[in-house]
Amino acid sequence: MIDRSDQNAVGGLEAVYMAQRSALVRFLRARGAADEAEDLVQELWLKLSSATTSPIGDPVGYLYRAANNLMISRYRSAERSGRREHDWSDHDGHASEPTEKAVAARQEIHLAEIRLRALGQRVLKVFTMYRVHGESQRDVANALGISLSAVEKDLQRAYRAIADLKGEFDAE
Amino acid sequence: MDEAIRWHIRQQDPDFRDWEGFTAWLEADEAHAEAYARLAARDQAISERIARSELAPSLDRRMKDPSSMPVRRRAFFAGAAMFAAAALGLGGAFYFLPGGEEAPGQALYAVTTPPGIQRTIRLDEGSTLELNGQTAIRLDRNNPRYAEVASGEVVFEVVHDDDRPFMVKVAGADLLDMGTRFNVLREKGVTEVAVSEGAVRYESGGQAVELTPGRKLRAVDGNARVRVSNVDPAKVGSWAEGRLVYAGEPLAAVAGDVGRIVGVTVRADPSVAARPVTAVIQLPADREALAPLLEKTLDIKVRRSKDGWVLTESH
Repeated sequence: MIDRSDQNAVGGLEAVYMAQRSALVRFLRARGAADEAEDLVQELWLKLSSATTSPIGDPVGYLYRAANNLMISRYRSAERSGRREHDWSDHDGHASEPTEKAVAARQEIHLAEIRLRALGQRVLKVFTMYRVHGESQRDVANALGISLSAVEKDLQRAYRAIADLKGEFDAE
Repeated sequence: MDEAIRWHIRQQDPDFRDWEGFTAWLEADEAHAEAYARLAARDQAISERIARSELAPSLDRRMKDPSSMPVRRRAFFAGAAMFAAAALGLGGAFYFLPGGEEAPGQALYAVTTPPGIQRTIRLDEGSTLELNGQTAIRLDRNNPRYAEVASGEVVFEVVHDDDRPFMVKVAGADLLDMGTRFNVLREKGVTEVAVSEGAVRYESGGQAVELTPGRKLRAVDGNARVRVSNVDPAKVGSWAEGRLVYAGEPLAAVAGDVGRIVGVTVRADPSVAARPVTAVIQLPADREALAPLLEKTLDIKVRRSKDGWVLTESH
């Protein structure tokens, strides 16, 4: 027996989903899902419709964010497994060594975090409020008593530190 | 990449609505989608780590609430001043540099040593910095895991912490500790980094090299290439333990080391400058006793002029 309010929430979201479905497929494809985009959007909807119990303020954003997060998880798990096509060690039950690629990714994340932290307390605070606590840029600016453009600049510095991928020196 | 960053930042905002524009940007170029995918994945991994470390009690010290900054800053300043005075001894130098770019949230202060005077600085999180004579560094009152080397020589003995990495800036390069004891020398447009324990990552101009124990990097200002060579890890930063150890280095290098320790200009005469030195020199407490010791150990003559010492042939 489904609660009426649940039914409304899912029903409201479903109408938005139906209207946005082809745009979502296009988005997933653009995010690198290729031929799997159709299957992924289906899978996504099954998950969302069973998990949603209360009305959503921004249903379009909710669907896109869910789709985006799905692609992030896929990227990260592909990276973790090193995109191995043949994982022989799985057959005899031994835990396999992390691949070179997975180790490199971990190292890169560690270094990006060092760079981020080295930007100082305020940048880290702005990043944490915005990214980890999900506050809007305006709320972050108000809470810290700084301008909106200062928040934006701090976030850009933070993401430049995160995105800063370095090649290795060709040492003499 | 800057465009990917802009889209990613905008998209994180709860008020973001332009999903079609975002899709169109991703579709415009495969490189866009790749740059974004990587950035978003890194961002999520790092955000998770930061969310986890936020729960750790040690974070209280790190995450000061900037809204209460003015009061805390003053209180912390008094503490830092006392700490610096203690570290340097009563007559120690402790200045605020007037200029210098400070990132938001940083509160940098300078620590300098006069010629010939060595100092030990213990940071309250456990790491130790040994400053050679005539050295200028800057530390951050808000971040005990950060140092800048402006000039001179410093041995870093860093307590490693995965969640709180130590960073040293020197001449536009970043040194990232990965659990470590290392020596940084910055003099006359040359940066040298030698590692005795752990590992250090050197990053500059968009490139990086990882230095393991027994490796030494030499970077000359204006030259994009760096030189990495071998060094005996046991002798890295040995000056801080009262010894100078050489295994074939030219006498000119010895002159530089001695000069920093004694606090006068010491140079090697061209006739002996290239002579290889293999020796262990125990530094005497009385620096005046160093000249006769050098003469005996290195078979040279130390001539004193008004400009400093000159190392010449013994006969």
